Amino acid sequence: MIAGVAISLGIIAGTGGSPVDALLALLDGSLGTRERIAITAARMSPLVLIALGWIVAFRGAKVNLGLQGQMIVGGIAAAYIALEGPSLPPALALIVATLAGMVAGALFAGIAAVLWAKRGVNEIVSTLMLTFIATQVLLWIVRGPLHDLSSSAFQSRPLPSEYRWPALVDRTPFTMEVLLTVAAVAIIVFALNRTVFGYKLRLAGENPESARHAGVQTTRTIVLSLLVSGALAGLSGTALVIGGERNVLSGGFAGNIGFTGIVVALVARNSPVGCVAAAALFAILDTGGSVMQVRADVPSEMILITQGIIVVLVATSVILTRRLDARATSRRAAAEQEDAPVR
Amino acid sequence: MPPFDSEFLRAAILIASPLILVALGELISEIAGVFNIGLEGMMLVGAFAGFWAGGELGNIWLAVLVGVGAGVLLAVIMAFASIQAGADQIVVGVALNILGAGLSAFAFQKYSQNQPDLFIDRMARLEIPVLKEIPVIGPALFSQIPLVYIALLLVPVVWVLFYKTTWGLRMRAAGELPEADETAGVSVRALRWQGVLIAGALAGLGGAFLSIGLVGTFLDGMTAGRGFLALAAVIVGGWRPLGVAAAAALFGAADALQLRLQAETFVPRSVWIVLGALILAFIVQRLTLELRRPAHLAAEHRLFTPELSVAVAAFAGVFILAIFEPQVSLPSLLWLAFPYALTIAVLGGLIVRVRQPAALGIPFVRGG
Repeated sequence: MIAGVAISLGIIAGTGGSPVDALLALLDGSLGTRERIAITAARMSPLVLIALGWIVAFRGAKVNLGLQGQMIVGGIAAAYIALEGPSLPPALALIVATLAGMVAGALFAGIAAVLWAKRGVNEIVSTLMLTFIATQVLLWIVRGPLHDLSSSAFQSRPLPSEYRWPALVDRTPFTMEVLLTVAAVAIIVFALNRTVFGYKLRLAGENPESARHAGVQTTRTIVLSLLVSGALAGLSGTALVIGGERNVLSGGFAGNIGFTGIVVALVARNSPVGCVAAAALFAILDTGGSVMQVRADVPSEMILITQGIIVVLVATSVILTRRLDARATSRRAAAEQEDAPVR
Repeated sequence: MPPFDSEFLRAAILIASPLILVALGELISEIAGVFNIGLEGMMLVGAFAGFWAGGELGNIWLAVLVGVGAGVLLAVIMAFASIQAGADQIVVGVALNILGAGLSAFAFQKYSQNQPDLFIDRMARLEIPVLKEIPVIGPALFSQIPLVYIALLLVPVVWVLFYKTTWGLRMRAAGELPEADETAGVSVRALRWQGVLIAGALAGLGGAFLSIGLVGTFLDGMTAGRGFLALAAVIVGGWRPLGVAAAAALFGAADALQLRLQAETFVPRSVWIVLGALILAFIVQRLTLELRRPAHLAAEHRLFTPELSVAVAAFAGVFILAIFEPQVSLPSLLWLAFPYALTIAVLGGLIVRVRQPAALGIPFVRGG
């Protein structure tokens, strides 16, 4: 991971920038003041939720590349409830919007899950195709049905104030929504490691054949895991709409988080707890990236490159170290054999 | 019969060509056993590199080569990580997509800062005399840019390579039963490296096609999921060169059609008729399959399976629409989603009779 950052700094130096300035700007921009720390912390939350979504599906050996789409659909559902739904007391409003977003995300993932279960459709392709569809629908919604005509930008009307998580740090997007994310991490860790569902899912993912022989309904388990995965992505999208930095639905509200969150999970090697740390790193890159762009004249796309390099390095280094270990062990075994007394 | 005229056919073939290139590359990689989902990233770096070289070097063919080279560079990472290091192919592919998107956007940002005019000369059409005079298909097939001819010619070339050469046999074995190659003294790793590098080269070529051949500039994320459409084409095409090319052509036609329909005030009758014909073809294929089933098996099998009922209902609906030709259309933003929706429908309606190469996605460990 450090090597990934080092390579990126090397690229900055190679393209005529100052790596020291860039790094300082990055850290100051993300952790320099109380407010900036709060913003960075707030940006962790959607990333963690997406990463959890990836991890749940991956336990069942399913590749949910469409978390971005499920997230968008979740955000749309929450915005619709807030703008078109009945007026509700604040606490209830938040619960209803959150549930709507989760259900929408789960159903959207459910399309891919059912297509896989019934028709054997590859989930990588279908979830991704659904993401492109969701993106187009979102672009249309903010220019059409939910378009705020008083604004020059393509975005929805501002959401009513009851659909707004109370802030934990004043004037920052660090809201009580973060508690939901903490709860989600705890629940997922528990569900994956301590429940029958988690055990069945791992069996179904690692060895579907023997899982079936052991009486596990693998298809059902995996479909369920995809629904949970979609619900987490939907929650992430909802969090951005009703807890995010702006209280409107815009065409780019989800940014690239549905993909960055996957990278977070990969860097954390699919550990639900580890992805909190990885999300912190990526949130720092994100908040600090824009400051870095202004101060050190480094394009923020550099952040994407850093992410990609980190993942490739992590993915290969794990395997390479494992292989080196194996080689060392076999050498030791061979040596021991030679030492063994001749009978 | 608008919108299905010669101009539509020309656009469909033009738009399908980069998909065909990328899908054939992926097919070669998958047949050798490496599932390469990094196509999108490889296309993007190819698109930028081609655009950059087109503006800087001035020679369009040199620019194409630079695009190919950029795709190969990313493919080297893919091959090293997945074949040498045995890393998870999906994980590396996801990373490469992000890396490719970042690299191309970063480089474009840097390059465009001191560059007033970002448009380059697109590749000129190469009209083939005599043949282009053939009505309808003449202008569609023989009045295109050279990259289209390369894409179309590559289809039979890949077919011959796969089924008529020793190399093709070895490649297929590397994806089906790698142990067979090793027994015969052929290196599975070397074959898989070849497959991944060819996929990278063709993805780079497909990307350069977009920037140099179609648009004349570079745009962030201009591939718009084409790498994944190519991935879908490999599956729909049943891992066979002709099928893959046909699937890619279908997706290209869908894209060309939605571009046309964006401009129409309502969906013309001919579109409903074509849609109905496609559904009918599906129904007929399904029925013949059922009827060809041996009698003792057919007895315990219902003729009207759920999907067949859905297909018949869909056909009836489209039939009614064709008769009444209602004045309906979609906002252009939603038409853009049409190729993706069609891809899902085709994948869902597909009768899964072909299976993927047996060793696809499994790292090969010698003696393991």
